[in-house]
Parts: sequence; structure tokens; C-alpha cells
Amino acid sequence: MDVLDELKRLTIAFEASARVDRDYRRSVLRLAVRINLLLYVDQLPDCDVLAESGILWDALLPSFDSFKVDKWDVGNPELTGLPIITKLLEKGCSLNDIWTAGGASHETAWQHFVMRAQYALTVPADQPPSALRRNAEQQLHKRVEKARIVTFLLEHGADPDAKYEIDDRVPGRTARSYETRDFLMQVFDGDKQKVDALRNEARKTRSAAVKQKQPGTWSGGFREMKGKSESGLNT
Amino acid sequence: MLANKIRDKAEGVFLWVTLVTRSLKRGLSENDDTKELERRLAQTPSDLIEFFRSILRNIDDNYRDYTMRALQIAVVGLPMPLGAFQYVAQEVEDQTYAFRQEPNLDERPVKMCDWTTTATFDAEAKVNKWCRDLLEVQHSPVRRREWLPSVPEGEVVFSHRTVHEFLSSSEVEGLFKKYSVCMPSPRKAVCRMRLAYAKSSCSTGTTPISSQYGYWETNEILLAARECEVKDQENQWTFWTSSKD
Repeated sequence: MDVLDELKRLTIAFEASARVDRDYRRSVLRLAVRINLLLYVDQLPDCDVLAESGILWDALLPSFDSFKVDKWDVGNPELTGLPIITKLLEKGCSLNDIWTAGGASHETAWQHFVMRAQYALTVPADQPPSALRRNAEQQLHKRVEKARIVTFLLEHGADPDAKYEIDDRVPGRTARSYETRDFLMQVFDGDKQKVDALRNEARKTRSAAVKQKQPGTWSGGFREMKGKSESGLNT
Repeated sequence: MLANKIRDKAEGVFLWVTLVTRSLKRGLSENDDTKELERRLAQTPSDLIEFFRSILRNIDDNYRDYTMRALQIAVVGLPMPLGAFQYVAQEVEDQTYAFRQEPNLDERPVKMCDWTTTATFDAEAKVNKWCRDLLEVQHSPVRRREWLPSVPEGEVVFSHRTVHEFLSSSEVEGLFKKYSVCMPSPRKAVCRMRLAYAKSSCSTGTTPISSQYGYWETNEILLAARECEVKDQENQWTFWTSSKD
């Protein structure tokens, strides 16, 4: 743990000295999340974790950008993500917080996950822009295929009514808008009853959590919800 | 004569021939005559594992702490840059070195041709002195084009995969325990050594960023930390459960 704290200081010193552009700076915490350094993340103060906007992205998704892909990003069987997602939720991170970086606002971690996941489920096999990207897509496909991660996220505060856009990679066509329901129908093989039940339950959980939520945190609601999980996950 | 004896004793094991030849070359450099070389050959076990055992038995007492620690770290940490492996000595003496060390941000890299820097020469000499014939340093021609003069260049590897198997055996683990180098965890040592290496090689004197050595060492440190979390936790669990039994 001391080593990683020192690495963080070294990275900051190096980037300041080398004048690394803000967009290309490395966050040791984000990288630690990406490789499931559970004990390290656990011992950090909650405020340090919450200060990293959009950190749940790193826990939810393999890296899709080839220039950022590190060797553990692709094909790492340990990247099931659930323990670290649980840890981040316990620390107060929310799936529905908007990620802000460099003064710009992006989607929430959940929206981004759904967007990427649906894309991975539908992407034509013959149109991969790169082997690395395709590998990341396959990894996400496997993760979503089990449906349990989606159930888990909905049980832990993900917005069942979130909207998102994806580019279908069809030449000449602009990005299309989707709702979370479209994605869920795909994940649960068109089982309308199951999808609706899941969404209703998620809405109830969310409203209950929002009522209990302390300002700026989701952890109170999360801890309350932990006992209710029905997805049978061992986290 | 000597060549025939080597051929007969080798029984087709090429690695054994390599190791024996190295040993004879060392004898020659110490001005051994033919009789002494023959005796050296006769004393060399023909079985590889027995050969490795004899290497461990013949470690100089002055180096034993360093050798044991180096080999223990090697089992979990190789391949490793020589620049990181050189910190084995500090691992034995004072484990705060990685935190006290200042980042080497300003050193300018130099073009490398066929010459070896003093730093590389010294660090490689220590690997050979402490871990003779078990570990070796490999040099990549690609990495030699440009290098920081103060950072040893090269990669420490096992001289053969059978060495790794031998050092991972319970027999050698017992030796590590005997010489009290079991604690602290060698995986933590790998993290510290790689951190110290990152600090020593994080010069900002070159562009583009992708060519910064230390910057990319970040990945290796995180992976080593992951190994610590997963494996050391498992070991602790095994220790506690076996203690209960």
C-alpha cells in the first residue's frame, strides 16, 4: 500500500516535470481499480475515491481505446469486476453520477456501461476496428451474457430508465437513441415479464435509497440494499 | 581429452554442458592447469538438480544473505530489469530505500553503442557473483540504442526453466526458511524494487512520453501489487488454516 502511495507521488512529480497533457495523465487509483486491487482501494479514505470522478467506469468496463490498453485490460479472466464494483459502491460511488473531466460532462457510469454493452452484444463480427478493441468487446460480451452483472447493478442503484445513444456503425447513419429497457430485453432474451419486474424493483429500490441518502453519498442506501440482493452474487 | 569427458558426462543435456563450460572458463581465468580443470570437472555432478544443489552449497558465506534473498525474489519476480534487480542488496540491508530515493527526473539519456556503462557492469557483476549459473543477465540490442547512464541495462532471467522449478521446490523453500529470509514477503520486495527502479529511470529528458522508461514501469508495479494482494493473502490464509489444524 505504501508502495502505491509512493507511486502516486512519483507519477504526479513525473507528469508535472514532463508537462504531460491533462488528458493523458495517469491515475494510480483508476489503474488499481482496473486490476481489482481490492485491499488497496478498501484502505483508501472514501473521500479520495469519491474525488475521482467516474471511477466506476474503470471497474465496469474493459479498456476500449487501443492506445490506453494495458496488458491486463484484455483477456484477463480476473476482471469480473464485481468485488471492486461492490467496494466502490460501499465507498459511496454512484452508478448514476455524471462523469466530469476536463470541464466537460459525460454520461453516467451506468449509461456508459449500457451503451458499451449493447454495442458489444450487437457489433458485427466482421467490422472490428482493431483486434484489441474486438477483444475488449468480447470480454464485455461474456460479462453481460451472464446477465447477473446487469441484475446486480440494477439492484444497486442503476437507473432503469436511463437513455443512451449508440452508433450502429452503419455508414451514413447517425447515432440512435435507446432506453435501458431495449438493452435489458436483449440481455434477458426478450423476456418482457422479467425485464419489467426487474425495472419496477429497481425503481422502488432507487426511490427508497434516495430517501435515505445522505447528501453527496450513495453508501447509506447501498448498505441498506446489500441484504436485499437477489442475484446470488458472492461479493 | 577434457572435451570427451564433458561429452560422456553430459548424457546429451546441453544445459549441463553450458554450465560446466562456464565453470571451466572461470577456472581458466584463475589460471587453473589441466589437472585442476579435470578435478573441477570430476567434482561437477552430472545430474542437473544435483548440480544446482552444489551451486547453493558452494555459495560464499559472505554472500549467502544476498544470494538467498535474490533467489527468493527471483522465484516470484523474474524476468525483471537489471535496474530493478540491483536493489536486492538494499532489500537485505534497509527496506526503506525505495521510499527515501529521489526521482531521477533530470538525467539525460545517452546514445548506446557497444559499450557497457559502469552501472550495468557493476549490477551484472553482482548477479553473477551472488547467483552464479542460476540467474543470468540478457541484453536486448533494441534497448541499447539510448539509455540513462546511471541505470543498469539488461534483464535478469533464469538461466534455464529447470532452475525456476528447482528454486520453487519445497527443498529450496526449506533453505530459504533456514536462512531466515522468508519474511517479509518477496512479492513486497518486488514491488519496492520496481518502485525504486521507476524512480531511478523516470527521466523526462526524452520525448515522446512513450519512451519514458519509468512511466511504463507503473504497470509492472501495479501487477506486482496485485500478486501481493492475491498470493500473499492466500498464503496467510493457508498459514492460519494449517496452524489451526
